Amino acid sequence: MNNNKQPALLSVTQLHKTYASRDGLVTAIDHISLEVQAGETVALVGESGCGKSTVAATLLGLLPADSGQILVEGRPLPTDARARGRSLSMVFQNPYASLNPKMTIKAIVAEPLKVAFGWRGHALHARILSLLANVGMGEEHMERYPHEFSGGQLQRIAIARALALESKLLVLDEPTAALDVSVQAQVLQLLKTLQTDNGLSYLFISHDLATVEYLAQQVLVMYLGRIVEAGPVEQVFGRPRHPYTRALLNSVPSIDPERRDQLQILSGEIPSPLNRPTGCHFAPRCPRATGRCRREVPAETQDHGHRFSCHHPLNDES
Amino acid sequence: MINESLQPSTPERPAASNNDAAQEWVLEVEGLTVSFPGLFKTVKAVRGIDLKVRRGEILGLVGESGSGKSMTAMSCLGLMPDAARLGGSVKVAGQQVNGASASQLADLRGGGAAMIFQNPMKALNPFFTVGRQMFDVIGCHRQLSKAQIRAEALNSLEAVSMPDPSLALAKYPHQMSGGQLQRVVIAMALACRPKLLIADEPTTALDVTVQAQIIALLRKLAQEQDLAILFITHNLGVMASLCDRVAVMYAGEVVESGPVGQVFKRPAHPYTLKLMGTVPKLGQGSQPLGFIPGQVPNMAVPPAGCAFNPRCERATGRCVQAAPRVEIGEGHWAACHNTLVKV
Repeated sequence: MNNNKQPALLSVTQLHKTYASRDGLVTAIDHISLEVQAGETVALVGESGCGKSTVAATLLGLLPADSGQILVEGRPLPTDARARGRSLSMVFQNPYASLNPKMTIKAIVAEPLKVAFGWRGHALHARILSLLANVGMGEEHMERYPHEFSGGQLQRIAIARALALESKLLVLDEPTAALDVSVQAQVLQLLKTLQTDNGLSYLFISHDLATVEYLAQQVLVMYLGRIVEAGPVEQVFGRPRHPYTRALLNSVPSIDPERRDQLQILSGEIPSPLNRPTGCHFAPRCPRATGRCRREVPAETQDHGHRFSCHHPLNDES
Repeated sequence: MINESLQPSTPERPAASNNDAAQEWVLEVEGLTVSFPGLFKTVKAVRGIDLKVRRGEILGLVGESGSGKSMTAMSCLGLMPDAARLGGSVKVAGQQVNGASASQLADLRGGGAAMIFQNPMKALNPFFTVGRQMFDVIGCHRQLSKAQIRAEALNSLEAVSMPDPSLALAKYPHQMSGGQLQRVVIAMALACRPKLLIADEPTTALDVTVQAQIIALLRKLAQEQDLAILFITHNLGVMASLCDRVAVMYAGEVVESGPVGQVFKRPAHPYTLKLMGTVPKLGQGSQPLGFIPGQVPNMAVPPAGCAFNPRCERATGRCVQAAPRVEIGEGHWAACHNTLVKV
């Protein structure tokens, strides 16, 4: 995939993760591969249960993977949590849950700095100030507690904490899903500014396609543990090849009431990962499915950095 | 719940539109105020709003967190916290809601009006099967035999296009997906044939593909069963795809209201336009998003005059006085001194 000499910032190969359950093995991620280049935002989209949050948890070492390789700048991801934090950190969906209500903002941002670098005193204080300033907050907020802030402000604090270790890659798990639209716009803008100023890379997990289009350059579409389509956002959204991507795009309600008839309904729901359909997982819901789709897993097709797995891809329909 | 006044309406408010078909209005809210008195300050969550919904019509109520949209919905069913003080008048199907007795309210809830909530997983009891919970609701409101109750439950599950309704009755909530649960909740709400359905962000917890299914379902129900729907959301896309009319709320007031096509095509209130600008839209790539500077006001001390004026680019000196209601078009008005659309 990557023709450059320099290794990708994050490179995941054939990552596989199953959960044991009473009813048998649940395959959450099925041999997925992805790359994030420096300074780039890669979005991971899909419905609930498609495995996107498991990808995040596996990357962060919160869950052990069954098999597969995770390389950061060409080197295996450190197993030690402290060292790992310098490679990647995470911003969670709900800042009300991810920030400790009994800690002040200062203590929240200080914690990773103390643990990983052993910083103390003035240096620590100055560093916290500059981190908070990065996200548009100041000294007056430092001694306050999370309940004194709004959702948008809390998410800024969570971002400041994630930035503390100067990790190059931030994993953002639906960072704006719990926020109002007007606040969401502010947080998205902040993420963009931080990226340009600090050369950060993001792995942006979301189910909101419009947000993905705003923030990301590359997009991966997941369905039931597999990546069904991937590539540059303008190609994947502008000219989707996989029927699932098209269906997702058509389900997004438009803000223009005159286009309400274009809202299309995909029948059925995502099947349980416990009994995944054979062949192409999407076949039971797919309008283009044939007998072959139900038998054979489609191989991945490459087309100028745009890859998709479908027996009957959409062509130049749009 | 304490009623400040049982008067049907505040006199200075103009009666919205003509009343030639008074019985058509399923929901009539006039001059509704909701406040929470405290020791030192009183939080004014809803500050005098008027809403009307006809049979078969879907009215969307849109606004940010804290704009008072959920409080408005709750007061339509008399589901207010004890500490709330209510003013103005709410009528559902001609029946006064505020000031009604407990037994009148019990008849109203589920009978005249029903409500569905944001998270269907929390709306159902995890210890009982879906069937048991549906039978309880139907049996409680209608005098039917056991067999009739079951038939009625199956009917309403079919009406919401639930695959295999009799199997669904035997399942526990945890055995169903979010989309299926939301269908169960809608079926339950409709089982007693209400005239009004209040839906408080029913699609927020769902995936986009399921959300599209629920939007289509609600549209079908409004058309086929002549159901009036008050739909609350902060998602402008959902609003544009579903509703016939919209009311935009800010700081406890309706700032703009009108047919959905008009409001989205020609927003007249600066807040409506700003709110639309903050939504990332598919097909616009990474064009910069608009944003609204400042914060939602503290509702204990709302700004004088138009509540949006401290954050508004178009604000002038007169915005500290109460904003007039400006007619923009047929049934479309905005409460603003400096409307974006010249009339």
